Amino acid sequence: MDSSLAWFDAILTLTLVVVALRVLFAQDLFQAIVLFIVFGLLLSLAWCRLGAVDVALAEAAIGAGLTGALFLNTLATTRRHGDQAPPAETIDRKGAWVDDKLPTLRPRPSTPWTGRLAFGLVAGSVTAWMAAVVVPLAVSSDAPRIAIDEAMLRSGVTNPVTAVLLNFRAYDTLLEVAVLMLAVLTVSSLTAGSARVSKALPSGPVLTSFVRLILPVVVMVAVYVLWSGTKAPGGAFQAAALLGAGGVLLLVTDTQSPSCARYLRRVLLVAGLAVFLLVGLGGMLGAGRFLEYPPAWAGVLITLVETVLTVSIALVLVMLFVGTSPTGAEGSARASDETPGATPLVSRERTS
Amino acid sequence: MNVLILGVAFFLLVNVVAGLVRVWRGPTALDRMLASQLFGTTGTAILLLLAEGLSNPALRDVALVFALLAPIATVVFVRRWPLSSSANGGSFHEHE
Repeated sequence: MDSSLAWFDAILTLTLVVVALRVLFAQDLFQAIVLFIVFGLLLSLAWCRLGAVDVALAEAAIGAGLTGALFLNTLATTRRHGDQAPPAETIDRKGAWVDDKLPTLRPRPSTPWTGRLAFGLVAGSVTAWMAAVVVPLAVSSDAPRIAIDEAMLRSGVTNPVTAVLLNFRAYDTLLEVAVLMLAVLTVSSLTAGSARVSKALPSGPVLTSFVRLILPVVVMVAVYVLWSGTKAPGGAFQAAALLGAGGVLLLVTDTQSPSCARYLRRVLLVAGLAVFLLVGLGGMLGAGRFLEYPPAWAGVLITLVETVLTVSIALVLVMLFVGTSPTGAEGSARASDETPGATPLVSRERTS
Repeated sequence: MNVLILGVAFFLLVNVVAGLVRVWRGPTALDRMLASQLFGTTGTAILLLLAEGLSNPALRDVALVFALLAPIATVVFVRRWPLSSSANGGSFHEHE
């Protein structure tokens, strides 16, 4: 048993390093994206082997699932808006895409060696400094574990990761959500005014049935992951990534999306941050410190914050996808006024 | 039993490494995308085996997420990639 596990770990680690190097150095951006998706999958396996199932869940949902979709979408968009339109010979006889005609990184002028040396020195000394700080911490005793075990009793949840994220270090999570809000605000303001997500091609029977089958399951698993986050691996970010992936599916297929009024979308978008802040301020009034929950209420408050956060983060992820889409901003709200199966992507490309 | 389960998990990982050759060498975007789809399936299987072999039931949740989210990138690829859409009008529908 041990030997096959040891081999498993060895091959996994080696493959991770090789794939990571290839992602960084591949000239062909499409290959880099596909390898990045694979890297996410393998990394998720590695987190599982390290016993960090919460991180593995997040990596599987965000790294391997949504980020790959976002990158593919962005590459498709930048290629279409790029200065050189793809000539016809990028398609070979079988209708597939010929590899060496794909968009590649433009070769940059090389940095002089003094610059490289300076950069290497700075990066090296920062790494050494971080090692000097972190390595002695790893040697120390069981003290942190004992402290956490004691604090867990007052945290309101039984999953230590959720306790850290939403109770002990809730401040960090609050700021993370604020960063996500900033990102989506930036993307929305950059793409504001440009058209809607195109639902150009009518999706065939296979894709339509697939979406119909998978969407209810995605929603159900998202709720399950959110709910189990209080006592087992799971939580708001993972659930939101699942919901967001469901939203992306709706956006790229011509399934009839639930339309919602613009103000409602905005309210839902900020609801997570707002509720989190209100709970934090409430703690200030009740327990005396910002984001300090009264122990009796901790479980309820954490579940409330996580639930609202899930909706908001899912919407953020969908909006980010909309922002990187070929025809721009809005999204499901305007999808209703698009005639089903309107202009195919290809002919639209020719007219533009 | 555990030896068998973990051995199969190891075998599947070697399969992933073999599939990486296809992602690496292409030659077409379609080849790369299909190979990465294989990893979604294989990854789910590996996680289920690890959940059994290491008796850590939480890994089954990760497998569930793997299985649900692996197709997303492919759907986006098929829908949003202009040239694969034109391939859609060509080779894919010829057989219908």
